[in-house]
Amino acid sequence: MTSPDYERLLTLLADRATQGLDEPEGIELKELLMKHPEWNESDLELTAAALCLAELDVSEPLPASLRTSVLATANRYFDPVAAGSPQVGQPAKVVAFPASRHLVSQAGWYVAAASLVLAAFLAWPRPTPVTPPTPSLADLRSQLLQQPDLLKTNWSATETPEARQINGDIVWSPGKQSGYMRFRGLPANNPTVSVYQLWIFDVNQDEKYPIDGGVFSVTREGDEVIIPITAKLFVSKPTLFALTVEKPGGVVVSKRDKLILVAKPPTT
Amino acid sequence: MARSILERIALGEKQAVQDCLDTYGNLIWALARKLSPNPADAEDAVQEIFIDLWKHAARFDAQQASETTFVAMIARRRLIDRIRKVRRNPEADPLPENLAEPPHRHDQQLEIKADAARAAHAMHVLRPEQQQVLKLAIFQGFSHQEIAESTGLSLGTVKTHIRRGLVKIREVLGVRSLDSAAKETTSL
Repeated sequence: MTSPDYERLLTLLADRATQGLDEPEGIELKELLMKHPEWNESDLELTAAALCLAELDVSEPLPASLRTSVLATANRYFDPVAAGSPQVGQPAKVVAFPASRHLVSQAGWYVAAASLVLAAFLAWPRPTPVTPPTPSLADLRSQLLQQPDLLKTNWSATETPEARQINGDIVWSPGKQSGYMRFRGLPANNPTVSVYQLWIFDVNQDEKYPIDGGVFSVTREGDEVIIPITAKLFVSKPTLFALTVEKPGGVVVSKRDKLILVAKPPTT
Repeated sequence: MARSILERIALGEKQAVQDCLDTYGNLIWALARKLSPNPADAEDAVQEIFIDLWKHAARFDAQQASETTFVAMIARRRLIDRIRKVRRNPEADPLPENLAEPPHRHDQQLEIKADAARAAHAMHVLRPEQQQVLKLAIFQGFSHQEIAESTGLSLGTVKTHIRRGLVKIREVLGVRSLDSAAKETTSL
């Protein structure tokens, strides 16, 4: 037999291990753990961690630049005095400066002089800062085309009738984890009724659960549109891109009822 | 008996930090890449995870889990926290970057693979629907609500599968044996 609060304890431990807890849940968990000292706060977190190792590919090394950066952080953390900065996570100590009577008597003059300098600085004519123009999506796409690892492939229409008039392409750089879709003839949609959603099938991802590549809408029919890809997870090696029509806001997993375009990247 | 890397870090031994990077760098990077939207975000996460590891090194208990599992737990805790923040504020933008690669450490991978093999074996004791839900939660980083939406199961059923699945696997892996856990799993 298990009591309701025991069930609740296990639920909170499992929630913590898989999706985290908010503050009230965290407090509730601590209270329940006091009633059940046989359980440890991290028991199910350790189990989830052990499980996640089962499907983890650890063949890719930590990037050298990141390793250097972590070591620099370690130096500051473990030896803050030598590194000349406060320890990470700890506030810098504020040391009171002993003001002499002489300094106090001169302080008024210093303040007055500083005020004059500040006033002169503020009155001095300064050139208006020039804001560099924001590159267009077409510019950004052109820049991405220079990437040596670029994958580029044309969209292929599916059997869906409205897909027949659509063409365009998709580009993706695995190194940059960035890409763009280009369409001509993609029908405009009413975003309160439906949206377009990109799916990225990846070599390391279960085919049932392709990576969400982002949701978008088309406001003007007929124009060429360029849409940036916003992959929600890291894409190792894309095997297929697919465009579906989904409910407003997009979905977590597509039923693929309305698959309109696909693009298969070239195999390398 | 030789001290573990985390015990040495807890004692403030500087060389242990390098050893920690050599031993667990790939693992932490792989987890960060798996559960982050882009490499730049993964890099930020790695920095935070290592700081968390140094802060919590003294809490590592070899009786409770292997050091690899403890490191993975600290990493996942930080990554889940970051996912929750992104879900609350979905405006976060990716900043991708190319990165150089240092050499491999095969001995480390063997240790991690041993833990991984035990975990993969343990997964098979679960019913298929429990496996599916746990895989979505742990390997894909789905929230329970997202799992409910994608599988058509009720949120309550998703939570039950996750809770019972984790308790069962914990028992199989022998993270710690508990009579109370056994009681829970008898109803599976």
